Amino acid sequence: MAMIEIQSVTKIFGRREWARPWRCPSETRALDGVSLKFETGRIGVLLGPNGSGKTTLLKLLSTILLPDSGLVRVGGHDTAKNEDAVRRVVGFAVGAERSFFPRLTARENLRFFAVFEELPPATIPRRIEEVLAAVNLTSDADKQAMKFSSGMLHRLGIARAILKSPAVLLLDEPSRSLDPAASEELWKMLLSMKETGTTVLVASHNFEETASIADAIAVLDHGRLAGCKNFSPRGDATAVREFYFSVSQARSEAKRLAEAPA
Amino acid sequence: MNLLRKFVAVLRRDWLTGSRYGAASALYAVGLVFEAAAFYFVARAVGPAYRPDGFDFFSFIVIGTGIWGFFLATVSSFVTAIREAQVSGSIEALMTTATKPSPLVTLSAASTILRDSAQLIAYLLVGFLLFGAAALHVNALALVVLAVLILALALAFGILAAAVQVSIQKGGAVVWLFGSVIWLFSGTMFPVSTLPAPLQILAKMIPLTYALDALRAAMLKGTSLSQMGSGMAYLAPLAVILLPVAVGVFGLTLRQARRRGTLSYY
Repeated sequence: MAMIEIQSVTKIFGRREWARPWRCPSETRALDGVSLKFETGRIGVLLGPNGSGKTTLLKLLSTILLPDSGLVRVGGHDTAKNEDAVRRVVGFAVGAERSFFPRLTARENLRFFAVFEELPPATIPRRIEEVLAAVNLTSDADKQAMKFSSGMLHRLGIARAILKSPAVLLLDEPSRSLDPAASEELWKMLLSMKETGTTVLVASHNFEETASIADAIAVLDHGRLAGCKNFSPRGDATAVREFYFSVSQARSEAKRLAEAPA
Repeated sequence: MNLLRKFVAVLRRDWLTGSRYGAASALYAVGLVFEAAAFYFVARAVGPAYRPDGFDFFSFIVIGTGIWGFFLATVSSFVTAIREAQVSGSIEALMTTATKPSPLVTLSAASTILRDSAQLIAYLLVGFLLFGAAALHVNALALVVLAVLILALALAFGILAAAVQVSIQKGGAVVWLFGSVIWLFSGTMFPVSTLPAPLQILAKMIPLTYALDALRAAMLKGTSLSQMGSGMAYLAPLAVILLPVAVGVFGLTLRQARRRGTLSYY
């Protein structure tokens, strides 16, 4: 069954609005007719250069954004019509580091979000310790978030995303601020979550990360799907690299030819 | 039950944050005493002969400014809650939790509203006990009903202000203008009858005008609800209608922000 289903999705930012017709914003086509599917219990990786639409796609899946056209379904629920159901199954580690209450400790922040995720009260303390341990933050759990380094905030963001044991986990460049050891720990955690049936979708620039975890790869380029394929065997970063550049270059070449005078 | 747990979580978050900011709350409390003292001396300078709407001037001002301050602070707390979430970057994380956006926003302002309520009570106590405003002659039932209506109206205007913040990120400026208008026209410092006739029509459109008239009567003359007449007939239905309308408007602006991708803009 497809846990994540994206059909002909287009997302344009900076559209002229009926409420403010005097404004002429420049349009940015962040996603353009993208269609993708990810099966339950698999790890998908979105690759693409900056501005290719990876974060936009994750935000559409997490209900932070609505598509301008097309259909986005998570766990069989339409994100535009049944957002409450989608939010119950999705955990999203937002890319921004500043997404915590700075004067609260890591543990207090997680406790706050656990209540808003509607976790059963009796399970909250144990679950907080589990997720802190999973991202290796137990010893820093009583430090205020404002005293955390960029990497620690990133790990805390991942801890928050997995608090509710989501059926779908969305991660935006999860290893961006992590040291190599922490990155490997994270990849192991994602692989073990996959074993328990969690569907994981990761936006990444990192070929090594992609090779270590991906069951499927999708390459986005200027908001369009440049290519996608199932990926095996695991660990071959060169194969990821070759696939990435083959589809990106193919798209660039096709675009160049389309724009060239007859 | 979930709502209560979330309410407690917000109180705990804000208590912990506030306590780590040191003595800010104590400074607010001291400020209240100075504010009441300033109005006490204004009333003394004006003299006892001036009795707006039949009340002594100091009592008139204490109730007017206290309720105005509470009303505006409550409206403003929603904008502050949204803006802080936008600035801290937590708005997107909050909006992807299992909690629906409207209770999320209302709860975010909960502890500020509680603090504003405590400050209002402290301000009235300082005014009436420390500076000896007129003897209270309270109709308790009318006071409770009016307090509920004023709170409901403040919540409704607050949620509308939050919608402005989400939509055009100018909630603070709109609340400032709103506060200035009701300060001038709702009879906070002087009776509405002092205004020129055309402006009195505008004053009669502002719910706080009726709320202040009714509250002064309930607190100082013991006037019952049935004796309040047109004021209650305006306030009660307005509060009942405006609150769900505000929630609906907020839901629409939130959807618009999700469509435009501006949820975290500030």
